Amino acid sequence: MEPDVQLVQRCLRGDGSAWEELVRRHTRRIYNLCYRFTGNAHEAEDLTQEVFLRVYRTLGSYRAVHGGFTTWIASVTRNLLIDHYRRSRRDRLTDSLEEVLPVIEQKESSAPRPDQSAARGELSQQVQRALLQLSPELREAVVLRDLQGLDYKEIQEVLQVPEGTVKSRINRGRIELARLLEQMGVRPSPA
Amino acid sequence: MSWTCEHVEQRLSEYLDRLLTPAERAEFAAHVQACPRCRPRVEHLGGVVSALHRLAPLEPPPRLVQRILEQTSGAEAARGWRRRLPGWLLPVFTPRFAMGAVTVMIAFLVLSQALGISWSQVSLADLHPSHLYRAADRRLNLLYARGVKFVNDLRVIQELQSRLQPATPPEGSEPQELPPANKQSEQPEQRRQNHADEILHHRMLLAYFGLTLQNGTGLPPGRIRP
Repeated sequence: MEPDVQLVQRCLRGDGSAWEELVRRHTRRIYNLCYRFTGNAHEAEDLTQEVFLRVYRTLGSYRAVHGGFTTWIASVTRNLLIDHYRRSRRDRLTDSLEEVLPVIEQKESSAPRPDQSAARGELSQQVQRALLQLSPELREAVVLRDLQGLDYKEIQEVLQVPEGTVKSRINRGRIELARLLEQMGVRPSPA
Repeated sequence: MSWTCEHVEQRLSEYLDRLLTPAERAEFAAHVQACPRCRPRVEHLGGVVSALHRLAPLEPPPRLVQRILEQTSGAEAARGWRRRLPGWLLPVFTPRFAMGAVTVMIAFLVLSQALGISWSQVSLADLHPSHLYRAADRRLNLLYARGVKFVNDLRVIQELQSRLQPATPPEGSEPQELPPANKQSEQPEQRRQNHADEILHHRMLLAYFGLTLQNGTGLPPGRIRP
């Protein structure tokens, strides 16, 4: 398989097939990152398109010496996700209290009881529900590490934070996620 | 130094990700083996992290790749030849402009058809100003001649009608009452006169229309003799 760096070079020379290969190779990864962060399929789809549009426009700024293409595209995605999160949080804050209250009640009542959860959904959906209850800082760290498979150094490049902060966020995010899953009655056995 | 529960909690992920040094790993394991509080927590977290790694990635919608390509390189390729055009020409290649141009062209063709312009016979020399002036002058003269003919025709018809209509008695004079014997004797004579007038009328009309048909120039037939 041709390395991403060479595909990028071909793209910059105007080779359309190289761009198509890059898109096909990374769409699933970016879509998963967006979906795990937002928990919404439509938003994930729109954000994935937005990511590739931005990558297409700024491909010339990618430098292989600063890291892998996967890390670079993850950084682009992460910046867009944070922008999206801030926008949606601002929208939520501007909602009136009357509109927000029923949603909170509905969320609380829809939380599955431990005896029901095992039979109710797949692990993937339970993980997704738990992820959405994490703060964005902890959520992105766990998603990048455990669902995207990036190592600590790569996550440090994506988040642009010190190594100690990366370790701390990953650890706290995992512990919080495990606690939430335990509350849901999910106790996966180690493989 | 033996590790506390706090130490273990802080380094949990590093232990699971095998980032601890052998010495640290040994200290970690020693505490967890002996601590009834930490052991189930480490086991549970290990299970959660393994489960996360085992989760199959979600499949994006099948149309997503195509939409991305259309939005990026596809759109670029579609307007490839347009990129070479100067910026001021770009609005020309829009559907709105094309519709307007087609409408104007259709209107122009309809108008030229109505004016009798045959585009198959038009040459470049026809566009010379002197030629255009002569053509316009000829068309104006033709229009004037047609108008004159129409007015003359009307005049002839009026003349014919005035000749054919019998003289109406003056208003106020009462018609003479004839005796029944005279009435009966004059009826055949009057009928013959009416018949003769009718024949004369038909002959005059035929003569007039015959002359009009022969006279292709559209000039008035002139006086008609019965």
